[in-house]
Amino acid sequence: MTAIIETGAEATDRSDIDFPVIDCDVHPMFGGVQVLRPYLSPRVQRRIFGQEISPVTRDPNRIPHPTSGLRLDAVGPDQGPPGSNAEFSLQQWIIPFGISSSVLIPIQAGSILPWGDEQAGVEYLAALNRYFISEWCEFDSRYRLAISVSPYNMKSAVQEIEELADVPGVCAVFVPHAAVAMGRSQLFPMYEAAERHGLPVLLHPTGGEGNLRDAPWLAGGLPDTYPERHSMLLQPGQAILASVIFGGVFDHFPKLKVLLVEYGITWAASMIARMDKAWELGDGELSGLLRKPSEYVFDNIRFTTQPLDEPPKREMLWDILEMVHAERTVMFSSDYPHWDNDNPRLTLSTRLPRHLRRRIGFETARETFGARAGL
Amino acid sequence: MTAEQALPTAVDDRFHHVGAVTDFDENTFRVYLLDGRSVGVVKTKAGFFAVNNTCPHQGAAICEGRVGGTMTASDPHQYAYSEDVLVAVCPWHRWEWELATGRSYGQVTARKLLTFEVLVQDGQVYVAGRKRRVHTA
Repeated sequence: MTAIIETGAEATDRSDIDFPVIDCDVHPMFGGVQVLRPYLSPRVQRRIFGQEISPVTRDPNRIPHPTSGLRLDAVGPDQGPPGSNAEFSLQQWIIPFGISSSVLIPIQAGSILPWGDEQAGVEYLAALNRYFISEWCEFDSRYRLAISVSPYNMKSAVQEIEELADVPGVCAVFVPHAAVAMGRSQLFPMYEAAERHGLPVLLHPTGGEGNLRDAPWLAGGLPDTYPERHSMLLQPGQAILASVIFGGVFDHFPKLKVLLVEYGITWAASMIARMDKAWELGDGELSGLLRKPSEYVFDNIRFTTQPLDEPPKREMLWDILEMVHAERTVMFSSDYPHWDNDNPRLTLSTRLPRHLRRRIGFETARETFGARAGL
Repeated sequence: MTAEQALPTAVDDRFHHVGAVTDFDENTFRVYLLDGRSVGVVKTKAGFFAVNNTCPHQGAAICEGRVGGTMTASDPHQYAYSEDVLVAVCPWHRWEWELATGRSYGQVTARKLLTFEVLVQDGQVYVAGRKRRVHTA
């Protein structure tokens, strides 16, 4: 612990940022699954608490983070895990860094991926949604929730969207990424409901990638270490992008937005070029697409900044941002309170070209979430 | 003890009194506002150190992190821990900075963490509020 006598405001000066910041990736957590008990049926309570199921999505026995995957300074006064106290997160992150609206992504939802009891998973996610609406969205209007739905049960996913779409604070649909291609038509009912309600569908690594049963596997073998796995997290993002484009999701749902959060950006420049080349070269399997893949990306896909690549010369990054039409496709994210979170004061100032800062920090997210951004 | 740590030997008007030696727990920063700057002071088994409470990487309050030894260069799949070099570990991205010099451990970056002179005299701890001068013997 640090004895704070006095502190400066060294990291919080946002004098260069003259617009409201929308942070598209903030993680709320619960300290123990027992907080969900009031929202669960007796059957599922018995199932979860009888075996003390842990809401952890990365298998720490396989891939431990050497010093924890969370910020060392984000433990609140109640000593709960970082992200488990709405008031503390407000005081440590939202207020001092001038965040006007934040998208809450509860990645503990990913813990259901290997569950054999599909209905228990559905009920667990419904409980999780109601808990975060009650404890976070109702606590402060700067918290906006991406509600979690099961990737395995479209009937329940649609039902949850219908029930919660109009609840204040709900801003998106978070699908814990399972080893299921996201362009498959079996998922279309969820996309249809999301599009109808103007809810973007959001994907984000759950922690289960490459180590949890039924989570996406990583090509090339099981990673040995945390940094090895962390470096490969772009793989699921690439798979999602290719699948939703070539699966024709946006021909069926042209107003739908799919958000790829924390999968990176720079790789997308190469992917876009390759997808366009494949579309131009072949008319067989791809003839079903009505438009060039890049056009769907620019219209329907949104990427987020964190972890922003830090090449030796910032202009190297800026060239790639131009290739992905970042003025339309990229939104700011911090990943608070995870260990690799980005500082908005840096990301939205010197690390981006001046003409993109307002677009990435505010405008594109405002357009993507509409009134659901709460601004 | 390095040449940098050997000086200064007298308290002058650059120094702020920050407490008694007994006020400090080992490897735990105490943070002060000195000359308008947030400065962390820490007692270690190698002596006292003072650093700017801002990580040069992304601006985190580095004194909220950890102080201790670190992994040294070793063979693949070998992890050798050593306290020969003491580092401040950033609570965000875990970048490590040598307390004695402010250098990035492992040379991750050429940027340096600002360090400040510390003087212990008669059981009291004093820190120079301006940037540390590097003394060479």
